[in-house]
Formats: sequence, structure tokens, C-alpha cells
Amino acid sequence: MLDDQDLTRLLAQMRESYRVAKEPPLEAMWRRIEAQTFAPGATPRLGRPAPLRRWFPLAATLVLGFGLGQLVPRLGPARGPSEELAGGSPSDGIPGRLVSREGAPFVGIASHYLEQVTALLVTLAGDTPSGRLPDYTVVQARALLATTRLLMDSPQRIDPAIRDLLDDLELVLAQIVRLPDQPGAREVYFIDQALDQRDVIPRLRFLLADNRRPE
Amino acid sequence: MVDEAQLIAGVLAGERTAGRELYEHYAPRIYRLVYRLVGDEDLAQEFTQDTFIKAFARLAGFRRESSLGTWLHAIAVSSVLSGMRRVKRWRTREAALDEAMDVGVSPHSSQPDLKDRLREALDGLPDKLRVVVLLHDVEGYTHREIAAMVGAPEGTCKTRLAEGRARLRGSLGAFARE
Repeated sequence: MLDDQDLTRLLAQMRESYRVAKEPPLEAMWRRIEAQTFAPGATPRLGRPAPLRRWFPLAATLVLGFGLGQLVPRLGPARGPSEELAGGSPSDGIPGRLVSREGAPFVGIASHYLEQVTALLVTLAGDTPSGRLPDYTVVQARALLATTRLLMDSPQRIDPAIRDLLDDLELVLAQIVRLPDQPGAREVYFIDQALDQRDVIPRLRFLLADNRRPE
Repeated sequence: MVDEAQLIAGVLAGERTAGRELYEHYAPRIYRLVYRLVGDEDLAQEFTQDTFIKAFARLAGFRRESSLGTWLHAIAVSSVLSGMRRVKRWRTREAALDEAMDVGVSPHSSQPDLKDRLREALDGLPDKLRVVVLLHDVEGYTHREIAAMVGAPEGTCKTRLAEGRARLRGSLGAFARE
């Protein structure tokens, strides 16, 4: 049996042989980071006027997270006779009705994100049978993927139904981001599978439709 | 030698060049660490990018309780740990798909030596244990640095290290000391 000293020695030797990275494509990686962080319209934005700029990166995460947090109580089980859930319930995997609250601007921001991701996935679902994707698809998916991950990392508690949806969105968007310039049948098939098996688009549409319903 | 305070101020002011400089200084190191942890080029690139995107988003909240490098490493390790949980779900789905599509896996063709076995054993450790073993025994970070990166108390990290090493010794049990 290997003793502690032997193991320590062997592990130290692994420095030269275990998962040693080749030179990474730093320039390509920077372009993607730059697009997310410094391009006009990127989220989060930097370079805001002096009083806001120190707080905006945190505020962006909190606002988005808070926006989803505002949706959370309405997606769980009914808490009292005065609160009603229209449509589906969390137990059947369909997000319940969203009722607008006093935090409407925050809910609006989360809705914008949901609209963008729905539009992308609907377009994609229409295009994948042909195997041809618009050029902007991967760029958009990358931006939405970063937002999705910020939302998932938000300090706000997120309802399990929303969490599941974000998990599935993250999965699909990451697959899209990894697509080569000319995707093959296998890559397209994986995306179709992810969209179909988890009913991603119907769940998004249900959430958006309820969110837009007037009071 | 980079002036961290100046770079941070520049990034917060929206200066692309400051962001670029910060990235160029830390990205190679972060990438090497991330690749060590995940063993896949695509994933390493993705997690490294995530690290910097998150870092720039949170930079206003950086309180300088540690060095910027340590802080970036902490974000990288966190991105890896949360990212690998998702990757495992993808791989489970893809493995099922591979089975359905009759994609074969070629078996090992030669008898593995001790280092091969150690590599396999490291790959087989749970992510939380492997991260600590790699950071301490392969990368050479101190317990204090590891605790800051992993976001857990030093005691917890030491326990994970001991557990990881015990499992490695167990996996290598067939190879006697020379």
C-alpha cells in the first residue's frame, strides 16, 4: 500500500503530466469577454456616470435576480384563499401564473430576458431541421447564456420551477454556443432533443403569456 | 508588475484597455488552473471566459480582503464546481444518446502503470475532493489560499484533502511500494 510520502511525491510529479494545458486561444476568448462586458448594450454595463458606476455591476445582478424573486412567491403553492394560481401548478412542471406586484420594473427586466431567450429558441426550432442557423444565433446565445448564469448565481432565492427552467435554458444555450460554424446533424439533434424533452419553449411561452396578462 | 488598483479603477470606469490588461495578466494562469481541474479544452475556455465575465460584473464589490489574483482564482474554482455539476447532467444525457445511436467506446489497449492509475484515480474523485487535492498537492497552494479559493473554512479544506488522498491511496492499493 502506498504511504503518504510516496503519494505526496507522485502527486507533485503530476504537475508536469496531469492535464497540462496547451496554449489557449486568448485572443478569441477575450473577444467574447469583451463583447459581454465592454460592448455597447452589454450586460453588465461599465462606464456609467460616477455615482452609479461603482454599484451598477452588483445592481444589475440584484435587479435581475430580484426581478425573478418577485415572480417566485406566485409560482409556489397557494398561500391563502386570496391568492390564486391560474393555469398549471409546479407539480405538473408548468409554471403558475405571474401576478404583477409593486416591483413591476424589476419584473419587466426579467420579462425582457425571457422574451429574448424565447425568440431565440423559437427561431432556432424553426431553423434546426434545415441545419442552417442565422449568423447571430451563437452571438445571441452567448449573451443570453451569461445572463442566465448570472441569474442562476443570484443571491435571491429562486422558486424550484424557475430554477429548473433556468437549468434547462442554460443547457440549451450552452449547446448552441458550442455549435461549429456549420453544425452537423448530431449537434443539431442534441439541441432538438433538449428543447423537446424538457418542453422548454412551451414553458417559456406560458410564463411570458401570464406575465403579460393585464391585472 | 501590474498596478492592481489602477487597473480596477480603469475597468470600473469602463476602460476596455484596463480590462484587457487585467485579462492578459491573469488569463493564462486562470486557464491553466481551470484546465487542470476540468481536463477539457472547450470547457476550460468556457469556464475561463465565465470567470472574467463574472469578475468584471462583480469588480465593484471586490473588497481587497485578498489579492486580485486570489479573488479571480476563487471565481474560477466556483465556476468550475458549479459548471461541472451541469456538465455531468449533459454527459448523462449524451451517454444515453450515444447508447441509442450505437456509438462505441474503445477500450484501453495496454496495462496501465502507476501514474496512469493515479490519473484515473484523480479523474474519479468527486469534484470537491479533486479540486482540493489538485490545488494543494499538484499546484502547491497553501491551505489558506485554497480556503479562500474554494470559499470554505480551512478545516473543511483540510478534511477534503485528507479524504481525497485516502481515496487515492485506496485506489492505488494494488501497487506496492517499491
